[in-house]
Amino acid sequence: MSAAAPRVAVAGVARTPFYRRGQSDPQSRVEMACGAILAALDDAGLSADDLEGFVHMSGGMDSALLAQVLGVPDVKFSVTLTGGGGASAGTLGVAAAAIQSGQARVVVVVRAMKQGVVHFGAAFAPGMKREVAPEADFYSTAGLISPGQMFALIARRHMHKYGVRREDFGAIAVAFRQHAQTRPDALRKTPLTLDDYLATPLLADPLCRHDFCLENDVALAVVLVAEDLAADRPHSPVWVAAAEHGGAGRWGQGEEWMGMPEEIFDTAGHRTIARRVYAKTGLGPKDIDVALIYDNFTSNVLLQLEDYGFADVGGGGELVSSGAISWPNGSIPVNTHGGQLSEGFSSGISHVIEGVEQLRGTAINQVAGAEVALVTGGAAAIPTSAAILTK
Amino acid sequence: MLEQLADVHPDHWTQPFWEAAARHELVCQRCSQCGTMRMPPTPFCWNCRSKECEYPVLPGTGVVFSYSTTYFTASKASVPEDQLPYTVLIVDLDGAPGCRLIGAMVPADTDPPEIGQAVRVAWEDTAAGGALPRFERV
Repeated sequence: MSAAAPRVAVAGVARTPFYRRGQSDPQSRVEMACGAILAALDDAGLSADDLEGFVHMSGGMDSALLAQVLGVPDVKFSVTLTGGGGASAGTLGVAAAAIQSGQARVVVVVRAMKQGVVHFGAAFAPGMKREVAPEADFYSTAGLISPGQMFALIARRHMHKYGVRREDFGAIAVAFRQHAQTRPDALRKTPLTLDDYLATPLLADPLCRHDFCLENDVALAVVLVAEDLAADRPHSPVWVAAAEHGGAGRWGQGEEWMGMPEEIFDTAGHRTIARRVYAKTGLGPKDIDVALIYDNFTSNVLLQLEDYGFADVGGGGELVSSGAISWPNGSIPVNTHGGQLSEGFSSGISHVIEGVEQLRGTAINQVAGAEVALVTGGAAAIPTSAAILTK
Repeated sequence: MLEQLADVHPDHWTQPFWEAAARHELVCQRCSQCGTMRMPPTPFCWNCRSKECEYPVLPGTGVVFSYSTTYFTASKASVPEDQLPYTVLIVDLDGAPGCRLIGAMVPADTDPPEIGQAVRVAWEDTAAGGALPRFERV
């Protein structure tokens, strides 16, 4: 966002509890989504009468149905950002664009899932894709039907090339599990040691189940408002200092393609996004107090930490195994809420909520004096995304 | 192996690959205008955006770029448990700079290779009359 543009604030956040897959029944996805929206509006001191816009990610909900159920007076903005969880942080930028261009003053980002109905672990199995893609024949016939199998191939390459070890992926799983201990509805709270991790059978070499995110039911909502509405709210505003989405075209479908040039294959597909969020804010990795990194798989956390400059390319293993990512003593606490590996899967929106709570100073695992939070979405097919939030 | 995943859905651009596969020939797509090779086949050259292309026959050998052995099934309808485990390779194709092909390794109970090892295509005929590219050790 340029210096001249009016600022946009996150004023309200909310989510349902995380439910194990199928355990949210008999609530419908619409019921859960609308409940989260109303709770986020309430958190912002607003009501559905004030709501003017909806932002979704692919596979999201229909604004028409949500607006009808909630009786929204006049929907002025309704946009779905392409991409799945990779778009999560980017939705803040879409909402901000709507607000800064005067199209809407109060916009909600909403995500809801019931993985008892559609389970993302089989996202690339035949019948799960919305259209039959000739390109898909080039991975599905080889037996790749699950994101975990695909990212395992990327992780293995990074291990081979840079000496990253399974112990490094394990250090990420162990740190996030530790963070989840204090989270009231975290789905995975059984304490995890590195020895436990290394003794767990592999699912897709080099990844085991502790490297995989959860599958669950949840709905989440984030309410963004124009600067002039931000002052008089129940919570102090959290500013969207930058929110970018996209990525290199030759990362493209990423894990579905595997044809990326080697200098892009070595990444989480975030390099161009990292450059943009840092350039737009004038901030860098040393300025980030807490990082909420999209954790579909541990290996992608490691790669993103490299993309965002917390370590050099290939240095992510050393970083995570040094304890740097652990709360409260690490130099750059990552996923203080336990993330999608231990708390619950959210398509990345729980990371946005945690970033907001950290900057409000109300997080359960509060980083002392946190003023700047990085939130990312993906690794996945582009768009990947990131936002920098400030107090 | 992986019979439940054997169906292919060719379009105008991938059809030549699958027709060659049925003859047990490995081809890639080459831009007629700038010579850039690309896989999987697509309507436009990513480098010069031409649609003119040809499908040269490759030697069928390559080098392992990465690999992963799968021990679980995310969908039993797609991968019955009796298919486990299996190893999937990403292979840099000889004769086609920048082109990779993903394929399962045969025989299925082979130990995974190392990155950098040489492999070659082993065609597996399908019930539909086509063939799928697998990889075996050289």
